Amino acid sequence: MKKILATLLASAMTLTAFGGLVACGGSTEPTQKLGGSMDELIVWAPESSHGSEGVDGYKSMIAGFKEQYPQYKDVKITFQAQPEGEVETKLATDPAAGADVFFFENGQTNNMLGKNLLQPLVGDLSKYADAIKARDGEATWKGVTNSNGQVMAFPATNDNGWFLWYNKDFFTTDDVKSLDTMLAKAKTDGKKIMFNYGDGWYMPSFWQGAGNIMDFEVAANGSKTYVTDIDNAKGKEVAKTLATMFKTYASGSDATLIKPSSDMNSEIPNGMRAGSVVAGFIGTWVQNGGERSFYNNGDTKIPTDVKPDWLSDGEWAILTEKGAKDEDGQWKVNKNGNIVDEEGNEVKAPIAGMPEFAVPTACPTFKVGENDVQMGTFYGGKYCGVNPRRVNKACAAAFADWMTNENGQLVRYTKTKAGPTNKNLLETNATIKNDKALSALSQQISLGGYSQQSQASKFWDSMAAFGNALATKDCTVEATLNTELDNLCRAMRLG
Amino acid sequence: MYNSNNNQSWKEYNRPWYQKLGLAIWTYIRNVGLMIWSVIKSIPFKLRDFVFAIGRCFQGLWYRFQKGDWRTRMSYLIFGFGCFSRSPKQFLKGFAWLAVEALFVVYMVFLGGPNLAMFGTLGTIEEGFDEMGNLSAGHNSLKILIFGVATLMLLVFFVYMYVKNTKVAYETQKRVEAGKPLSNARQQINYALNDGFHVTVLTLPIIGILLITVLPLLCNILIAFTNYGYSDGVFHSPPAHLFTWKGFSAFSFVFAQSYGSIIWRVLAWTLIWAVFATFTNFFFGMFLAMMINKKSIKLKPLWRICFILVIAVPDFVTLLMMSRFFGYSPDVNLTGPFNLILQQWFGIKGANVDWFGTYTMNDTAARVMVIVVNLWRGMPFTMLATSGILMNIPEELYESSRIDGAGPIRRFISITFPYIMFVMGPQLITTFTGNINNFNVIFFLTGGGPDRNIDGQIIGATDLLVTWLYSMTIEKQFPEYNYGAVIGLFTFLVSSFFALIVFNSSKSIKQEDTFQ
Repeated sequence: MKKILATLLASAMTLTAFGGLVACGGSTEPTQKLGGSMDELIVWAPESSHGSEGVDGYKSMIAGFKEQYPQYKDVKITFQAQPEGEVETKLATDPAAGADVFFFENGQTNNMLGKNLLQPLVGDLSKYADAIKARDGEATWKGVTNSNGQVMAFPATNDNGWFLWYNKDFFTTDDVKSLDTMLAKAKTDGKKIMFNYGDGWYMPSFWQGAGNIMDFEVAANGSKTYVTDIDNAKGKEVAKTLATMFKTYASGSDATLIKPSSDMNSEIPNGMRAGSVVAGFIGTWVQNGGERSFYNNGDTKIPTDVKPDWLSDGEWAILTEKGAKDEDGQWKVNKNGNIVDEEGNEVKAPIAGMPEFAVPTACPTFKVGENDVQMGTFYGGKYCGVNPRRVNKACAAAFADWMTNENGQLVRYTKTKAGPTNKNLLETNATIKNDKALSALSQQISLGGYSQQSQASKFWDSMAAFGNALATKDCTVEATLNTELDNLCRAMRLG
Repeated sequence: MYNSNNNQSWKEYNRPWYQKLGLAIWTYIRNVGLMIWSVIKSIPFKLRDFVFAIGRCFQGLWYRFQKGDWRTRMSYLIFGFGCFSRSPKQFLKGFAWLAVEALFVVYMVFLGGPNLAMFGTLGTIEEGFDEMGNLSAGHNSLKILIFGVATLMLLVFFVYMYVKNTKVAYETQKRVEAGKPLSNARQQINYALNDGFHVTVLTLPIIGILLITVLPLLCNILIAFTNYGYSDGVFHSPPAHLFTWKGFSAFSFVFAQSYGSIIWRVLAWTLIWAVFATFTNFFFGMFLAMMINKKSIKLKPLWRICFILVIAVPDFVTLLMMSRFFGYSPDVNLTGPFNLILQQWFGIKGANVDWFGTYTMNDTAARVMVIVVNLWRGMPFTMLATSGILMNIPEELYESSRIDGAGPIRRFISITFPYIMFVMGPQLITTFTGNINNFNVIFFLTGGGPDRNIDGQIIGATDLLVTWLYSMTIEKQFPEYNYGAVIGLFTFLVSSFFALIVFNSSKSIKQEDTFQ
């Protein structure tokens, strides 16, 4: 009996291994396996560390969508937080198991097209392509169009790009026109300017402004070669200028030009508030940090008379000013346990974003020889894509359209201050027209914008390594600089 | 090979300890070398034997075909024919053989055949969108590779079964000719559950091992000969694109072309790291255990628990905490906690140090820090193991050595250390191989950094082979699986070299035992 049992156990072990193998068989005629189901929709949207970014706003749009499209009223729409920068790698691991709708950065577009991760808006879906062409500017929809002229994604924002935030009490408006002036002034006062030279998204700025190219060139037969001229005479001149600038300002423990140690999104606002950082190069996304409620339940009871340690002075001031008290003299709370004001609305305090005295403006120029060269920036936006390997494509496209139409872009702008692409919104909405950060961005793009196409595989790491080398090696020695620049170009030209 | 009589002279007690140690290490290395050499020497003979065995196999096949009657000869086409055509008693056995053949044919027609046919190209049809925006299906090169290898393995098994089948048919024929009775179904089942039980019970697990261990390993090796991954601006990976055979190009890329200038650097640092990580942990852990074990120390359990606490917290938590703790920024307001403690608690004004060197690109700082943090993290393990050994050393040994006038250093060299080494020796080498692949410490502390551009390739100063492999394949926008497979193979060779030494060391311990 024991022996029979042992035999059975052994067979069971093997059968499971076999079963797994046979289940995913194949024949010479390949068949496409689609994931997902007709009554569910999974959406990947970003969520930032300071409060829920896209997700919350988009969630509030579900009800309106189901009203507009009654045929999808039973579809269960689930949001999952997913940073836009990681969508390509995440989705490529198992496309059919990924989301139906996802937001991604424009820099990934070419790679995602190469991996067949974007559903072209043709056939039944061509009506959305027409809608996009009607509501967005030409430059925007050309960015989501492939080489066959098919629209591949829904433009959602055009906030990708960065510019200068400076302390208006420290610098004058004339100071911030020249990087050299800024650096000299900051150095005299022992202040810091934060520029992420250890990141390939920021470091190319100097060459972009000088008009050098860093891009793939697609031949007629579709083969791609990477082309860059940052080692020509002009590029070398820029590199030499950088070497001197970095040696003077970025090296040593009392450096003026510093990079963030881990998270620039918190370090620039924090440093600005502390007063030690007087300028930082970053985008629109830092301007507001969201809001927090005051949870008052169980162990985290907030006293009414004394300020507890875990609240800042500002938060305590807002709470004591607005918070209502009940008959027992305790804080009045709603059913979620959050403190409310007299009208029953939750008391909310802003989470630290950029301080009041930080002002956005276009990047400054820097001196190369006798000439002033404008600092450039990669620019682009966030797109919303539909997964071609999921069955519920029609519903997915409808929802993607819903989230990126005029109203959808307004919702995202309100939540995160992400600049919209919608022509109508840009022209008519007063808040958006008066948004200083957005106008700084568009000013920066017009001065030195560099459209962010997909880059060479070693581009980001080698640019970062070059920036770090400038700050830590003495690159004013010509041989050192030439080696570094040579290595950088070699890495980029590997494609 | 090793002859203990030749080496009698150096074992004499009056030799100085360093000579003994040196000779012991030399003998050890020589023994390992001899062992590896003897394995290499035997390869041609083993190959010859293998070829002869196959030859005999076919010889037997032909011999049985000549001697066999028509029933036996039919078995060459239809499995089990020689059994079930002779007697109803042999139906079970015969049809079991037939079932094996039928299953194989079904597998080959529906799964094995199509995949094996495309094994040479790894697929021809590529995925794409039609004009209506529907995604047409393409071949999946990875599936073809996996099923191709599985089918080849099955094919070898089938050939074995084929030969075995003819043997069974011929034996049955001989039995009938000799007038002996044939076994019936009950006897056959009895045989399978008694005399042949090992075959019955082991066959299926062996198939399982082949499928879940050998098959992935073979596929992994074969990927090194393809262009699976990102190259020339195309991501050669299913489902969107096909990949195909490229011979040794990935090997030449890794060892000669682009990666050629960095792989030896990475290997050198990997070995330096493994040596330091292993021996610092071992010696400091041992001294710590000896210190706590001293009679004059009070509250021994408390001290031990203090150190063991480090073990109780998950590795990546402590490591991530350390990397933040020693953070750095030139701006005093943004620098890491440790620098702030130095400045604010101890009043050291200018104390703002980039401990991990990732900001200031200080390779030496990064390397020293990972070793030091690893010491803090790994020391308690050795302390725990050594404490047990120390408590078991007989006190009489120390007493008599004291009477002989031995000081503390002599007692350590002659009593304590040999005792500890006796138990911990093999474990030390296992730890060494483990450290070659110690992913966590490097990944969570420095992430392999500080990164440098060397001849157009980016490599971190603290990158080990395995963290390099990780950064090249996982979580990257441009994964290079084929180069990863080459590096994986290389790491496997390096680790297995040291694993071989461990294998050999059990013997060397026995020899050590004889002279103590």
